[in-house]
Amino acid sequence: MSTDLVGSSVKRVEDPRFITGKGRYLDDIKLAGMTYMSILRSPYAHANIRSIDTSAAKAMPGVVLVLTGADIPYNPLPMAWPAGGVAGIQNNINTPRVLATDSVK
Amino acid sequence: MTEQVSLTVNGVPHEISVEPRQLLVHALREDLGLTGTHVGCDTSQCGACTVQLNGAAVKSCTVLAVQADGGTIRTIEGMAPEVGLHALQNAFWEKHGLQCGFCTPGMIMAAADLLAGNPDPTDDEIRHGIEGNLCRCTGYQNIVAAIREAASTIRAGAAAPAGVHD
Repeated sequence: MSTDLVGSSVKRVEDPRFITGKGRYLDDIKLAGMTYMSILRSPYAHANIRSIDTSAAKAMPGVVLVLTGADIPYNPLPMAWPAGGVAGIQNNINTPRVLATDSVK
Repeated sequence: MTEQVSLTVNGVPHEISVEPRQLLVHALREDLGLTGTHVGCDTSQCGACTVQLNGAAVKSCTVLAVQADGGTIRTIEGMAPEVGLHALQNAFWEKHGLQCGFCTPGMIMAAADLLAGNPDPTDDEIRHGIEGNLCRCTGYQNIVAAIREAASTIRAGAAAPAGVHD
């Protein structure tokens, strides 16, 4: 690297697309057949889930899929390092579910 | 139920069908493919969606597309001249007024509105002018410096130096 760069102001090469509105952020990407997702959160701060009635949501026109925690198997990816660091405790013990099943908090 | 809406965006006339509840920002992004205008917060706090509607800066997530019917809109995609960059774009680049760039289109559109009414703003006036726009990476120092620089360039009437488009 040339020492001429030290102390000099160098223009960033990635800026032109951002200052002209041509950046490509995740929300800007459109793929064929792409659908929209909406998440329904619990109206309660800390509560047990007794049941979830998805029939009205599934009956809405244009709805492709309704998922609850019960539809997603608990299959957490192993963490890169032990959580808690206690011997004998599984690394993934604190890995949360994608969607809540028994309780929300 | 849809409504027909006429919009002239960056000099190009468009006729689109929108739901009455559709926001202007979604008409720009989804119907016209102009994704340079960003949705940062959806609650009119962050200013990433700022565009010019009939010459005034508006947060396009606070405007219904039907409200803009018959209007003239300028977005970040319409700022640069045929060749080169707008003085504000060039100054943001030159003065390191961005990192991730997400807020930049809104910052530039808000700054353009400020400079249209006040060609020689003080730093306080610049900060007031962009108070509706949030940046989460740079801090505002370099953004203010960029707007000050652009104001000076525009006042001098100097053509913005040619930049590189990709």
